Amino acid sequence: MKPLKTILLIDDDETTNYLNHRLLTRMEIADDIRVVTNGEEALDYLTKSFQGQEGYPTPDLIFVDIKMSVMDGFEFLEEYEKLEGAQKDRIVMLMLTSSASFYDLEKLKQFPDVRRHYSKPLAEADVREILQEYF
Amino acid sequence: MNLSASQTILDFKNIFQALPGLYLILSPELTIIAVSDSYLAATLTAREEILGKYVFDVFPDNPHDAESKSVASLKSSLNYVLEHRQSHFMPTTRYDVPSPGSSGHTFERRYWAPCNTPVLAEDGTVAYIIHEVRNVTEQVQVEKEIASRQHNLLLMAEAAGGAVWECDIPNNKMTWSASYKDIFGYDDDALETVPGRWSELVHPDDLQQARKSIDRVVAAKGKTWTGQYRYRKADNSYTTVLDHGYILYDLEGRPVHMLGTMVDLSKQLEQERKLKESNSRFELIAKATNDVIWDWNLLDDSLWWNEGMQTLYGYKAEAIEPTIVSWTNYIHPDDLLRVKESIHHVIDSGETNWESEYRFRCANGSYKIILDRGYVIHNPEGAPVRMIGAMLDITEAKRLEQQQQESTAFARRILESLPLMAWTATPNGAVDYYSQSWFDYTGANFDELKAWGWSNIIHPDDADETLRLWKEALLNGEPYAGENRWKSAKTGTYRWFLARAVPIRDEEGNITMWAGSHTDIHDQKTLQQQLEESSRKFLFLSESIPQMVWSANPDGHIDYTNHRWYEYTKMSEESLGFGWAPAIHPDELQNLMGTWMHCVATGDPLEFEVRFQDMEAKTYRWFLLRALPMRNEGKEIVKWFGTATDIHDQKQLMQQLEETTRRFRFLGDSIVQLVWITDASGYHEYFNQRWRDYTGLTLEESMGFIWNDVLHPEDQQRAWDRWQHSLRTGEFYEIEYRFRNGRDGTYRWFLGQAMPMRDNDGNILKWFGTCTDIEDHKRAEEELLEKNLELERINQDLDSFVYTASHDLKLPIINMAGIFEELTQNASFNDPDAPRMIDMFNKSLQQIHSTIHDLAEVVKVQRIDEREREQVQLEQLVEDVQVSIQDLLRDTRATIITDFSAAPGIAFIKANLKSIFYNLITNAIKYRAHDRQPMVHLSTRHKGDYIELKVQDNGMGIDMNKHQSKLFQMFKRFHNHVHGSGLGLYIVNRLLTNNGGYINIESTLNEGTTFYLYFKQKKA
Repeated sequence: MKPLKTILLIDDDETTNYLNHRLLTRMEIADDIRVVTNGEEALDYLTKSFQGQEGYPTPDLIFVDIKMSVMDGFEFLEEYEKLEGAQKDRIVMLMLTSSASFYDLEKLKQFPDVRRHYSKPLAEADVREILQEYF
Repeated sequence: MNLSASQTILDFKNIFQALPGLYLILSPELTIIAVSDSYLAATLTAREEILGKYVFDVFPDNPHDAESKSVASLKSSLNYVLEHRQSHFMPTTRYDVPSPGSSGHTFERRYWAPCNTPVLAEDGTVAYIIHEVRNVTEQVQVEKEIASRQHNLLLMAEAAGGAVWECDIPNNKMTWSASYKDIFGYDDDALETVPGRWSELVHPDDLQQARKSIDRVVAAKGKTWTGQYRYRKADNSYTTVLDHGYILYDLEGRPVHMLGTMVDLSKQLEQERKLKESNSRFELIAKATNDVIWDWNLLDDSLWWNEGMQTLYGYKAEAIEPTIVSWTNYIHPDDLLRVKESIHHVIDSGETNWESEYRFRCANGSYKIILDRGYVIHNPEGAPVRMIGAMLDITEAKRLEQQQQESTAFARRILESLPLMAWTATPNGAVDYYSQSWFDYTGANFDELKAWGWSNIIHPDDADETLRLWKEALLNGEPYAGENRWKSAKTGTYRWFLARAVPIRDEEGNITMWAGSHTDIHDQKTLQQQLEESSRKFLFLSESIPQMVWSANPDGHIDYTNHRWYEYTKMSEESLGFGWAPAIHPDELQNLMGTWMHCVATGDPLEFEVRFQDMEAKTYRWFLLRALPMRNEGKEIVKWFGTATDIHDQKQLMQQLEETTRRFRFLGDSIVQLVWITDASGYHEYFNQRWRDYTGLTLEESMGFIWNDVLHPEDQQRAWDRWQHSLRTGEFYEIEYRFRNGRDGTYRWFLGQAMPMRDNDGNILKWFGTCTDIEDHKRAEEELLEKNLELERINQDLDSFVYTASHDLKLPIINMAGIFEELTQNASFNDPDAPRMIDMFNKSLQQIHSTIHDLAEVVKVQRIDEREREQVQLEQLVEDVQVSIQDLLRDTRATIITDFSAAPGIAFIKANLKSIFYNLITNAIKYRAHDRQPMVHLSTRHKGDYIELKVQDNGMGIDMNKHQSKLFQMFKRFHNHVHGSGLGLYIVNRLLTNNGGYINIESTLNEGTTFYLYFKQKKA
């Protein structure tokens, strides 16, 4: 039995997604690891998930990047705030960026949904800390 | 008795009609219902004429008596009765009744005493009015007659010189008229007395007889009584009196009132005798005199003339009417009214003497001028009864007097018309005439001045001398002349007069009079005195003043110079005339001579600057020569007066000033700035040449307030406001503005500055201003500003470049590291050096990663936002740092010991403070000594305005001598064995210094390093 059911990775960098997927899989903490490459796709996924559509399990943990094409991380977070779903309370939203500027970090304070910010690369120690703290 | 009702009524009617009284019965409407026979008789009317008629229709007002108010009176009485239902007695009223048979045209006088009485009905209203009238005509007439007689009696008694008495018998009172006092010598108290007093004063021998005589008259109800008896006067002597009495009786026939007069017979007798004597005497005199005598009996207006009327006025005896007409007829009509008024005034006012002048016509028609004097004779009672007068013919005297007057008036008129004060004196010197101008001048009248009265008006200082001269003249009979002062009444001051008098002699050579005159010479006299005074003063002044003074004749010859001239030039009197020429500087001599001759010719004042020579020392000094002509009344020049003032020092000063000014101008023109001067109000007075060169304006064009012609339109308002501000406050003026270059119309920037020049009191006199061309500076400044902006832009670009670059570089490096790690964990390599190469690869990766991370940090430091500053709790901060470097701490087994008790917090931007702590702690651990466990001590304390943070490690230490200067430079690293970007200390230093702090380092090799960081704390 793995500690989490579903993890959603939102990042447009393929390599990052590959490496994070590989790390999380190796550490065997989730049954299902889903990957979307921009905010719009993420919203689409979550909307469907909250509606209870099959094949869209609600994630326990979300990693979201800031710099993304189509819809970046902040735009996504703004839309996510508007989404309605009882499941939102159970979701742990974390930000994972390569280099968050001072202003980015300031802006992040406006989004209480985001529990914490992690710098890339995501290390095993980080994951262990996340599990320990939020689950 | 059994009488029927009708009988009774009839009886009453007859009885009423037969009543002796006068009755009318009126209805409330005032209609006559019944009337008594007596009434009809008294009013001369018949019953059938008045019964049933309205009462006032029957008895109208007496149309011939306007005074009569009988109807109104009766009406109001009747109304009173109707209203008050009470009887009303009317006052005795005159109501005349028409005479019978006269058809109402004539009336007979009647006096009535009416009474109206109401007869009330059972309900209390007035049913009838009984109008009762008593005919009192006879009674009233009697009373009137008595009063009239009494009045006459009084008049008669007074006229006869007697006293009137009145005796009120019931009240035992006796009163006397005022003349009682005069006649008998009693005082006021005796006028009100009792009849018994009379008995006391009547001579005892006569009293009995007088009493009896009165009693007899009373017993016979006689009205008048006359008696003669002796009566005692106040002085106790007895005189014989004649007493007339009038006796009034009451209804019962008793005497109630007596009136009478008492005349002193002895006095009357005496007077009659005297008058007779005087009359005869007078007539004798009148006959003897030449004057016209008249005797006018005032009582009957008869007039008696003496012979004079015939002899002097030519009237025939038979033509003279013996009445007053014979006088009034011949008085000149123009004088008649005046004469009549004056004579009647004298007679009426009780005076005795009358005098008047008038013209009286003679029989031949000519008029004589008459002086008429009259004397009024009064009878013993004081009434004028007679007037006696004498007429004096003064026609000739009058004519002579007139001639005399005319002749004198003519002479006086001539004297009066002369503009001098004339006078005449008797041969012995007493002044007997002064002309009007004397009175005008002295304010005294003739009485005050006549004879020797003039000695009070003359000036005291002149009195004795004048008197002496005048007496001398009188003595010798020589003409008199003298100057003396006389007091003016108008101004109260003395004026000088020239007095002259000549004797006038008759044919025999005897002096008959002195004729004198006084001529006012005050102005001439004072002028003369002033002239003497001023010429004295001039000499005194001219010798005492420090200037040279001189005078010249009209032809220009110098006739006087004061001693200053001689003192200075050392010349002698040879310099007079035109001898002064050698003392004049040769450069000015010709010019001076020409100017002086011009002045002499034209009378223009002389003003000339000239150098005089000290003939001995051969030195010159500058003098200002001035001269004015003095002219006489004919405007001819009589003299020139001149001065020469030493102006050498002023002249030199002036020259110096001119030199200074010239130098200033030269300086102003030679300096590169535009220079200008204004007055205190900002009006431009001076511009230097450079101003003119630059603006292209002439000096004339530049004067005044010209800035707007020169200033750039955008600068005009600003410059004006600023300039006005300085003018107002006196503040130093400084402004940058653009001036137009007059040559090409371009504008250049100038720095305008101006300073006020003040006098000793601090008042601004002038403003000195300069305009410095700062176009080049300005342009350089603008370029610098542009450069700065550009640099800033570049900096920003650089920042964002670094940021972007670090970010964009970071991700692939992170990915490469991840992929390589995955690869090395799960792939196998055949090369025996593979582990070593993998290690080298990792090191390189870490290095590049670290560099990129630090670069991003540097960019962060550039952007500090003051708003982010907060009070950061250090304990918590260190914990956060420890968490982020927990791997490092675990691997190195480093210990961190903190003591923030002295200053638990620092005001700072939290992220930056964290960065500082992060860098210092990681440095301390990175550069640890490998032979011992790393220890980092962190502590704080207050030090002045700063909080000191001490970070002490036990690491390898730094060679301070070698590296101190480069310690905080970017990308400097001092240890090769440890990887790092070389940016850590740079960042720490920047963060600190940007916030007003600083850093100190102490270090010993192989022992450790201590950083002291000083954070500036803002004061509360």
